[in-house]
Amino acid sequence: MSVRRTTTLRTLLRLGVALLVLTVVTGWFAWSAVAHAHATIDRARDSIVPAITEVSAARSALIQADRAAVRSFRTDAAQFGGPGEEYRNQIAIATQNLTRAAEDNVTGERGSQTLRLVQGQLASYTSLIEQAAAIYRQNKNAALWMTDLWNASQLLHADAGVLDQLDTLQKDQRAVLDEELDSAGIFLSRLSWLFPAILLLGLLGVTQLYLTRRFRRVFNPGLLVAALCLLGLVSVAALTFDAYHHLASARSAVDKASDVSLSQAKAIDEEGQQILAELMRNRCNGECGYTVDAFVRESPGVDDLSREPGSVQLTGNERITKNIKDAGEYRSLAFLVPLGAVLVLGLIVAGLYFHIDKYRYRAK
Amino acid sequence: MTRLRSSALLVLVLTVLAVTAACAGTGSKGSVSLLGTESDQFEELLDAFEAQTGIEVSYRSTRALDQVLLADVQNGTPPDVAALSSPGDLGRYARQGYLEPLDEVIGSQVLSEYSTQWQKLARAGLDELYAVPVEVNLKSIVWFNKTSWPQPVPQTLDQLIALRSTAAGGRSTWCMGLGSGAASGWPGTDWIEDILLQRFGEQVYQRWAAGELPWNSPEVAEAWATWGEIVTDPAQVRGGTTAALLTQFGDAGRLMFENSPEGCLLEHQGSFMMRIYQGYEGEPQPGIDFEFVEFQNLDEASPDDSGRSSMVAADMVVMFNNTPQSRQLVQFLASEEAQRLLPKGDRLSAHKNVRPDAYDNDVSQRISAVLIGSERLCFDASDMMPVTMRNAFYRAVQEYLSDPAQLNALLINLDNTQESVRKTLPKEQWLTNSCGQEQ
Repeated sequence: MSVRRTTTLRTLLRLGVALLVLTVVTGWFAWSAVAHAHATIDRARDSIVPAITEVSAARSALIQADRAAVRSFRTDAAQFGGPGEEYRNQIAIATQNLTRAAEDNVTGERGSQTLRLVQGQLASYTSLIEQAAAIYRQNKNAALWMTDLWNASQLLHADAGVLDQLDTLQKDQRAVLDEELDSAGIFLSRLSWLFPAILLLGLLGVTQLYLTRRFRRVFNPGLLVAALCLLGLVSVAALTFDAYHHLASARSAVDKASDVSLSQAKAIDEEGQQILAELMRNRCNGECGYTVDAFVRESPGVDDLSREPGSVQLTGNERITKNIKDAGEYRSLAFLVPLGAVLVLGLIVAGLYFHIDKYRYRAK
Repeated sequence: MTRLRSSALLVLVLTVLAVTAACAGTGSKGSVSLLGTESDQFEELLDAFEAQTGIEVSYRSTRALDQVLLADVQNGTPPDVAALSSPGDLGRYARQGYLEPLDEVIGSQVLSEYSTQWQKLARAGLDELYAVPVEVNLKSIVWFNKTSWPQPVPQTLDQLIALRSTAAGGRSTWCMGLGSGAASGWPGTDWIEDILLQRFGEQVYQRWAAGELPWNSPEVAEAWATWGEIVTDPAQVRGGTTAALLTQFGDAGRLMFENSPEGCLLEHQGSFMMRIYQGYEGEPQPGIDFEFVEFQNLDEASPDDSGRSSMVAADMVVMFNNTPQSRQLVQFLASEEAQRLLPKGDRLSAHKNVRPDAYDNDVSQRISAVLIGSERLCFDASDMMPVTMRNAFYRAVQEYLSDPAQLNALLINLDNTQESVRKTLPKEQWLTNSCGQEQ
């Protein structure tokens, strides 16, 4: 009898320790997954998505500013109003957006450097446009205002120019969002709690069976309630899947909004470049050198400047905001994970204590 | 329980060992950041460096290097190493204490492998060595399409300047483009500098570059006017000043390879144009499709009877952060081993042991012979000037082309700018020896 009592006690102790360890592991991983999901939501809401939309908005504003500036020269409005009110407004918007993008920077030192470079190039761009307007007011026939206007346009449009830099930055920002949502490590960490939870549930069942056979009880109420609490904990942890689903929808909305903005901006940019080509064509008569002549040849030009110019409409923000808000919908239930784990621990101890204590007493 | 604890401890120890081994297995010997101008400039050199040392190089390139570097320095986050294209910036950063001296890093043995002239130029008149030329270019060059070099060949600078379209068979004489984004105007400054250097010699050139000879002096004014004669003549430059102002510098030479009345014959540009020409349609090749003459060889006698000088430019490697990895990178870039890799990328070295025969074409070989053999090399003067003065020079060139009649007013304005720069910048922040001569 002594041997049998010792074996039962050892088995009960082993099962108890295994259940407790698995509960701690499951609770820890589940809490990590929930905390990580909430951190991702916070990062997406507070910095990544704003940074992407701000760069997109800055890009659109710059293109609209450039078109407005070129248009003011083409319509002769530059004679009295310089590059114009629309130009100045859009430059102010672009500057504000770039400042906010720098505050929300998510691409590290590389992103900061790009934004500093863009801000430097933007200063050169505005200086050239203002110079061109000043020269134009003094002497419309001077070649220098055209040179400044052309060089400003090059600063914006050339390889490694402002628009190019912003495109690269936005690509990096999107890659950060993709990394947050898609990387293999993150996928594994999301599911890390599932395996110990299944093991724990199985072990609870095995323990229940053992106790039923060994002590001829139908079930152990402590372990049964512990299993129910575990299922509750698992359900709360599983809500992270829903949160990631909403984040993925937010990402799709960001991509769509960026693509729409890019396509609208492209149309406006083409119009601006066509106006510039028309301006050059009228002034140069084919004697503006290789670069401008090639540019003019490839551009159809714009004759009708009477219609109101279109603008970039930033769309999709509501959908993005709603998806991010929905992703954090179950944030208030997060406390149930540690609470559930503590309850499971307590119920396991309570469920096994009676039997272990009995054997310890008998052993004496 | 004891066995369980022992097993857990064993797993923990094994995990720690595995992670440590994994980290060690990458072979990383640290990293070093490098800032340069062109994305592929150091490609082969850095690959070789990484393979040899195991040090990872984080290379970043930007065409707005001056601007980016200044912002980095002001933010307190300069790169470990940078390749500066302007000695003026070298002087500023060195004198403000941002740069680490390189005399001991490089060592006298390696330094002696550069010609005396390049050793002088690299010092830029500073007390210590802060830079090593990692890639160099000859700027006193006139390029031409081999099939259309004008006959008879001009024998003097005056004859070259006087070339008109009649001699050029209907094509304009000069290909010219001053466009270069925010730095537009620099190809014009090269012209003026080179004319001044060839007409009046090193002493005058060096005094002017150091801000000691007024812009309104007869010598400088003559250099401007000489260039003006060329560029304001539509027979010399198709489209005249407007075309020169609006053409990108990298596009100007395209017309040299077009056999049409719109074409042009000659281009005054640096040796780096070889790579640009080879990227044009038809991929013109040095020695086969295009050739060069040295600007300084066109006149028989030099103004000071001491031989003519050539204008040069260089990308100079400087060290902002003194780390073992930075030192190793600078040592490697200055070494013969690294310099021998430059010809593979059509880039030119100032290292004496990279002999002209290391280059695969006659054009590069002859340019290399000048770069490593001549003791009369002068840095591009505008590169030596403080940035405010340099930008004013670029702008003045453009304003001159827009209205050549205002030359005197422009030169007076440049003198005024120089005066105001002098008031805000200490005298020692002007580099004084653009030709390596003590003033």
